[in-house]
Amino acid sequence: MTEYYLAWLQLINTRDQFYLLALLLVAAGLVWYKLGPLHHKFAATYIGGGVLLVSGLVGWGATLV
Amino acid sequence: MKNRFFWPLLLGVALLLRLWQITAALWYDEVFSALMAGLPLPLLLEAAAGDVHPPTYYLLLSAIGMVAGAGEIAMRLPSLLASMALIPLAYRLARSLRANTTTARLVALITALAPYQLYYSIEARSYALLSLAVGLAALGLVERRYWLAVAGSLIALYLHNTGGVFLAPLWLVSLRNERRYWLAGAVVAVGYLPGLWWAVAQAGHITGNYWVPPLTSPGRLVATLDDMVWFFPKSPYVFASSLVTGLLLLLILLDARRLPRLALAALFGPLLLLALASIVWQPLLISRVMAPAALFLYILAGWVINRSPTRRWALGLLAAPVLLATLAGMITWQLGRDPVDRELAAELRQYDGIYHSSVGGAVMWRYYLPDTPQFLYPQGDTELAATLSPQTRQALGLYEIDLGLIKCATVATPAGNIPMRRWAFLYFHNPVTAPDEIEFVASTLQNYPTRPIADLRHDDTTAAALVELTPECDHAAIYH
Repeated sequence: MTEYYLAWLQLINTRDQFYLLALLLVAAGLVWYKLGPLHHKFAATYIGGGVLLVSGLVGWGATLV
Repeated sequence: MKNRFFWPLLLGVALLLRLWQITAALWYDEVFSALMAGLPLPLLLEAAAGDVHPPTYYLLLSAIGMVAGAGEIAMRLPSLLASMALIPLAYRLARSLRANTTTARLVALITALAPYQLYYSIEARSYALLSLAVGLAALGLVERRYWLAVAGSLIALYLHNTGGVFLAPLWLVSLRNERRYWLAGAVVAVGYLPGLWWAVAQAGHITGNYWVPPLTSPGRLVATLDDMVWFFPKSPYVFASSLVTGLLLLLILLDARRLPRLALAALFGPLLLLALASIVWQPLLISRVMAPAALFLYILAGWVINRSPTRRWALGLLAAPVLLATLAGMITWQLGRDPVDRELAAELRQYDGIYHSSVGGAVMWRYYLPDTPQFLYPQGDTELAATLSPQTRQALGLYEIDLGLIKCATVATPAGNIPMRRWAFLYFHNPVTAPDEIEFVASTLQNYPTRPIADLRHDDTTAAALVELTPECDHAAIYH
């Protein structure tokens, strides 16, 4: 095992955990949307869209730095 | 949109996006294809036998190379054509699975614009062709055109050793008590026997292929599905794209009972089979291996998105900005391909010879500088170094020799004797580099007079640099 190999494994594991977390977040949002009362549906939609927008903007901002 | 505008516009945009980077420098895997294609037939077969893929794709490139040379465009042409053909095929397959016109168009749109497709559309590897072959097999099975199912299946099986992983779920889910079905299946099974013999012989070489990471988390399955749409390892929009993929995946799972079984089986079957094989045998699951299943992900995505106007709007609004940003990124950042190699070529031409510590560097520069004398640090057979087997390295003509033996040698070349006084020393450490190679580089940098020329890459997982090596020479042996 080299330091490069170990760093690579670490990177991939982090990525995997990140995707699992993203899936769980979306699942929670979807359950909230399905089960919540009407005004919660609006909230779920706006928060979901907002998170996407913000994360997209942060990503875009990161390319400018 | 009116019928007559949809297809010209979609195919036009798809072609433009695919042509954008077609002349970009080839990366290691593609250079390997091009070098294989340039070998005489017996050597090509020998080199392929020592690797992990069937020779079919290299034979195709070899035939193209004879007509059009081994340049970037020629080597990428089969992938480009297959990728373009996949778009109408996606539409036709969706329609045959009883999708309405809008859903089928949505499927074609995703197939045309998905960054994953754009990447493989101009990669000189077999994945775009393999996707088309599996798609044709699926269409043949759905439409009961068994000749098409047989042709698509055999092409897929001979293009890639994992072909069966994608075909088995397709054939099983299409199982019908029809004589023609069984006859077609038998033709495929018998037709694949020589290929199976080849694949089994190669299976032993896979041991030690450390470049496929071990499967340790279910998150990898989600990451793989995300790659199959967005593929862009350096994307800064990864959080946004993963949320969109997560939503699509959950909608697919929630709607599973209404979705075409064939598409579900063709997507999740291979994913689970490869995950299982990764756990019990060898790590196999990486996003490129899943390429032929991407078409079915797009079909399912089109289906769940088009189920209601709310979903069309919501997912359209969520996905469109991420898609546009990713496409813009792919265009400006060169698809994640590294453009540095061509600039380096001019620099490297000034040296008497190149000494490589890594197989990757040796393969790359053998293609881009075929006339420059080049040598490779002897690789041995340590597990981590198994990126290319000794048999393949030998067939490709990579000269492995100790630097100590040749550092002051004069090399006899067709152009005359070249004294090797000024060496370019290239090293490239990545996760699969063997520890002894890293040690060799460190000791070389310490023991010889060196001058750093370019730091090519440097992060936690890679380190690459070009160094000028000027050994003190008292004597001059001649090396043939």
